[in-house]
Amino acid sequence: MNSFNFCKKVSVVVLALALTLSVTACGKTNQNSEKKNIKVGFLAGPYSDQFKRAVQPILEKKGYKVEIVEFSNAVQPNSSLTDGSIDANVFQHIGYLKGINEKDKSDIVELIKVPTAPLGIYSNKFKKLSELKEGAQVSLSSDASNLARSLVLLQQAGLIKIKPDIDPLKATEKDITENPKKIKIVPLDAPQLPRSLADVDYSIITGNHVIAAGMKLSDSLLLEDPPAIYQIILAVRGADKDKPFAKDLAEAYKSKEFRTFVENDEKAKGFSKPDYWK
Amino acid sequence: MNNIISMLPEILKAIEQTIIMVLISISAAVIFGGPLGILLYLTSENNLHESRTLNRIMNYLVNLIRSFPFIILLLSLIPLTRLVTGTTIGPIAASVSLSVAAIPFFGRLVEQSLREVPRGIIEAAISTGANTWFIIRRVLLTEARPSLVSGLTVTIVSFISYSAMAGAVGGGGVGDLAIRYGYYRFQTDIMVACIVLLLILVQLVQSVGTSLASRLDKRN
Repeated sequence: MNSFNFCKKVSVVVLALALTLSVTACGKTNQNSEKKNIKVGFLAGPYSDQFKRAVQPILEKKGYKVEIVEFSNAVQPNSSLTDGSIDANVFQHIGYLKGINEKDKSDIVELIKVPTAPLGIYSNKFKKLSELKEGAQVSLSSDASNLARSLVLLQQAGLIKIKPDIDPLKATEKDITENPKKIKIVPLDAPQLPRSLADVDYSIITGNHVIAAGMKLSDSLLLEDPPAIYQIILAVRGADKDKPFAKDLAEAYKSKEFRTFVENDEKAKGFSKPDYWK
Repeated sequence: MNNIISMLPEILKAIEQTIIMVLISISAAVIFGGPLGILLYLTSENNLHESRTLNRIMNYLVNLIRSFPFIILLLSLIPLTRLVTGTTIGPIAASVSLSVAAIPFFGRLVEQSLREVPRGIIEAAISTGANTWFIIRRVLLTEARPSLVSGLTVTIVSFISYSAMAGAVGGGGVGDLAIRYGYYRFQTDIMVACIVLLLILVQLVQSVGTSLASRLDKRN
């Protein structure tokens, strides 16, 4: 950015604030079919890193100019996709997306599922889940869909029971019907979970944060086998579903090169394989 | 160290983003927050242009915005951001909510600075028949200058750290880099590098601000 352009931008914004006129300082992405500049949104972490190392080069070979946009909350990647600030995102599972589409009346669709780091139960203090004592503290994600998912995993482990008729994406601590071990649930911001291992007895951590923290999925006491609803998806606007760029994105994820990368990368050990690789 | 060297392009980009965000929000703070602070002062009780209603409305608005947790303010201003800039990501977009937060922040500090101007000086100016405009420019703003500069310094330093949260709306910047690599990716080295950068920036702003304020202070 040269300084003249920069000054122009600053004055434009200040003016726009004064007059609250809608000014398009940074033009929206052009919607022609020959789209060659794509922006893909992620939460900071392994999905973004894998894309940068192994998917982006494939797209660049095809002549695309690719920009990675990283967010630090789970609301923005979808709203930015809807308003055209980005063209695709890879951070959510279909259940979370459905909730967003209903809530925001948005039209975001799944293209394909990508290799997913499963949710697991971890502990620094115990070697087995069976050692869980009465009144144990268990930390888990505070965001709605992962909190529900963590409760489902606790139920699978036979530690609690939740209401049978509850939506597996919306369950909260209040929906626990049986808790014989009197487990204390400690909801935390997801990146905090690996750090909480020193203070709690067990922690239920999503795979991407496990990997980011330098732990291994194989350290887990219990891993979920992510059912289809919990696998991470590559998502685009409904209108772009059949555009060439969307097809090329999906193809890059499905490619042999990316598969080889995931199978051999140290940090991708334990990722669940999508159906098209089975 | 290798990590930091390989991150250099990202770090440089982040520095640029932080500077954009701080410059825009501070410009907005001065252009709109300054007059807001002056109005808050003038319309207050027993003052040059006492106006209960106007003062109440402005106070209410300032308190409303200032009581928002910043991250919530960021998210609730998304529609406005889109209207003004046509996008919700990037430093320019993040500057919209930063500006909205900076205006009342600085406005309050300006109001406080003006309150510290001795009444006697203002009364003397009034008795010479000076009009309000003259009093604002030649008396209030002149007398309060050192304190206004200190207030602006505090605002700039605060908004350097506020801009870190703007990463939540894809705003980028040095603080956001620290959050994305330090908090989300456990890369302490990158985080430390970012914090050192921010420290240098804050030190610079603070020392320039402090020396300017003391030079303007007639009492020294």
